[in-house]
Amino acid sequence: MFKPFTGLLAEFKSPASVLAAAKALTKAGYTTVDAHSPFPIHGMDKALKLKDSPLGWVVVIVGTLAFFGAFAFQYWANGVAYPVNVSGKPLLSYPSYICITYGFMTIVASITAATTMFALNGLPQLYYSLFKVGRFAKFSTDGFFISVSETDSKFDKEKTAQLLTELQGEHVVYVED
Amino acid sequence: MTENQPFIFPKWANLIPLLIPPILLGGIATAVFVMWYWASPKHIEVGYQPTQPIAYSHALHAGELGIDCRYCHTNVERGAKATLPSTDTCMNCHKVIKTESPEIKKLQKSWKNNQPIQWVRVNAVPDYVYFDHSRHVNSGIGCATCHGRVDKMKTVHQKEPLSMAWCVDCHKTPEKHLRPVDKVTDMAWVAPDQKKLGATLKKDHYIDPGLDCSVCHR
Amino acid sequence: MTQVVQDIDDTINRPALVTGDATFQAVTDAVVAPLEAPTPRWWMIALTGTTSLLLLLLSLITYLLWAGTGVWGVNSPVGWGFDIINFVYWVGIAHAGTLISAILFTTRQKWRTSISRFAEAMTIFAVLCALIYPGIHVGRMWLAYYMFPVPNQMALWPNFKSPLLWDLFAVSSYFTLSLVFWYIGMMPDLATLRDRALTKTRKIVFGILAMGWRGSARHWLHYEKAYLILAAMGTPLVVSVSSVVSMDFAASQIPGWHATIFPPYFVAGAVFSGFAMVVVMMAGARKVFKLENLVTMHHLETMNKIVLGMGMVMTYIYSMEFFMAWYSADPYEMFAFINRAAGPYAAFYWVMLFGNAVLPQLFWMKRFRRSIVWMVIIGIMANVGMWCERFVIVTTIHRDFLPSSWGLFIPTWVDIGTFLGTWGLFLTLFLLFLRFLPMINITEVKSIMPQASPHEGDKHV
Repeated sequence: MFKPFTGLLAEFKSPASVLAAAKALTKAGYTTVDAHSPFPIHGMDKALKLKDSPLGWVVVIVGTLAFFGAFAFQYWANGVAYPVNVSGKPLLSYPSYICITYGFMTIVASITAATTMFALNGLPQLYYSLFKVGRFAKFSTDGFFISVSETDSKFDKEKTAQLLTELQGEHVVYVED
Repeated sequence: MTENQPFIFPKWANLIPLLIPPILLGGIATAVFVMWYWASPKHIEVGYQPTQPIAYSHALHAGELGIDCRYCHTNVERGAKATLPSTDTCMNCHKVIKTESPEIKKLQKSWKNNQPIQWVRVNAVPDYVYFDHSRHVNSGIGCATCHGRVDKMKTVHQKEPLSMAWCVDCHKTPEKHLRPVDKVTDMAWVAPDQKKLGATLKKDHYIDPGLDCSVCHR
Repeated sequence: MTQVVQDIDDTINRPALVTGDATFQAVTDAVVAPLEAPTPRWWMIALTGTTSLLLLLLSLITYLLWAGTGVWGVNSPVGWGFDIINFVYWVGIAHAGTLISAILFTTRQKWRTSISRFAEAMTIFAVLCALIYPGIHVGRMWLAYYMFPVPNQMALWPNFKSPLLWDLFAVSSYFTLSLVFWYIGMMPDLATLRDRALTKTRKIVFGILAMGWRGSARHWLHYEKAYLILAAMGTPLVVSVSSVVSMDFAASQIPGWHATIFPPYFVAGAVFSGFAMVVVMMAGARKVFKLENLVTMHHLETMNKIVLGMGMVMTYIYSMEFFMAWYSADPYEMFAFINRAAGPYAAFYWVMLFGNAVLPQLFWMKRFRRSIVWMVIIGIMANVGMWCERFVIVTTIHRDFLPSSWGLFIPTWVDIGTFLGTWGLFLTLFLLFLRFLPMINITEVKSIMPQASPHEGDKHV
């Protein structure tokens, strides 16, 4: 679930240069390149050839289940388990179930969206080797970083470091988990 | 930047979030358990067995001696309350039987002083429930169905939860418990085929207990 | 798509959303500065006041629990009083946050970025205040679990056909979504606070709250998707919540309540009061925390336009209500409305009309839209007016069908104290928010700055 990280970290000056470096590294065949930025950089997912997030499908499926589950439960509770006769209307008077069906779906779907996001990202992960690099704290303000993991098949401590420097990367460091 | 290092959490801190799902699920399960069982009459009321002012034994009177329930609980067929017998009822026999027993002495005292015995109520439903004994007994619900085998109890205790869920259960499917009206006070009676008999009785006697709020709450 | 928006922006020359010294570092500094400064004196004084009110709320709830709902002014025929008035009022205040976050996000209104966090926080705190009332108004608070579908000894389930239960689900779904949305949106900013923190306590607390966020591109991918989905789900919620709240009234058969116009009526009113509230609070906060470069006059003016728009909707509905009463030819319906304007509670009606329909018209003029003093006055009056509106609607039942059962609702000191107490809760939470959390979404503000675009320099690729 939690991926430890050992590899190289390089700092870049601007969103444009970090995007260019990410494109170049991916073109060179690296697959574990990751960028760290204070805000999402437009086009970074394409540059790193990341697959589209499956999060939407998870929310759709769970939300649909919650929708029909809430509807079925209301009918079961007020129509089967303890039939409640409200002014002679049919037990399956679905218009009166709409509000709660929708509300429950929203509760479940919003919690699902959040928890799925955390699960897919492997968060919360309080310890991460990059945090040990003092300069890395800049990522949340105005720093743009690229990390390459040593699990990458193309990874070579010296060659990769040199490539990062060529791509205008600064303060290239090797970080161990 | 270098002078202000961030706090580095220990590696084991990454494992703490794994505790969240079990704690969450456990919390929900506990809440349901508390509501459904632990704080319900099933748990807090069944088995209630107070000490009575006189160590009267139903096992002896109703069981061994075979006195009919209605000999003492006279109003059970006619009114909402089954009624407790007055001291006079006891004295019908105890004027002459076991007059020297210390327990019977208490009875005599009550009789002489014209003071009723303060029996402690065992089976009770809340005041907002309008329970009527006659309605049930005359429809063919046996005493033992709700009160258990009182003829085997030395000291009476509560057998059933008497919760709303328990009442509603029978109101939904009375055929599970119906018996011929003349067998109502027969504590040991068991139907040969309850399913068939119940269905017949329900049909023949037009038993339709109803589930509306106003059936019990008025 | 984004490019198209960018082009339009360039063509029509929209005013810059971030003015002054606009580097990434400067934005972070501007937002975080108040959190890192020593505790200001005014803040301590204000907090003392608000916590006293909060204490009043807690003691009055205890008193209510102890003595029963008889301590409130509610009685036949007005069985609903301050509890539902204030519930609807707080739900209304809560409406700006999600509207700004969700609807303006999905319609790509960039100006929302610097006010969204602030408005979302208001939403959450206001919903909390609102949620107190359904819990305490039941009288026997220990039976409040009846509202939830928990298996119980009665074999009973909540009556899902009751508008009051719809209400519970509507408001709690709104609360859940707002809270999740707020927190997810804040996570990158919490990481900023963590990375800047100077004391060990802050480092650890923000470290835990930021959950180890490291701005990874792979994380942003899922993050943006989740944020978009939450915004999309929040969009219909903005209209659904107040609609459902209005059904508490509309689903009954009381003259003055039983009207199909109620759902849009309540939604418009909620957005109106919510925005007015955001304007008032924001006008103060930007001044105190020197955030004029991030929350510009352009932002405030845009919000004032929305206030005006909603005020116009309210004006339309007020007149339409009278028209419908006349057109229905129903004597009870007609009487209910004449009684609102000329009955014992007429003063509330006219304050409502003045605050909601008359005063906002000043916003037609740019001079008033851009004047801090006027927007605060109009904002406060809009909220007073909206509170009066709820009072007028709820107390409509004081003239029952039979004159023999007429009666008035007069709030007791407990009613009023509880309402003041909810203000204490709201303001206490708000002061804590201003002091300990970033009140502007740093991440989003940065992402709309021109230099955030990777195509900077090579314009219009």
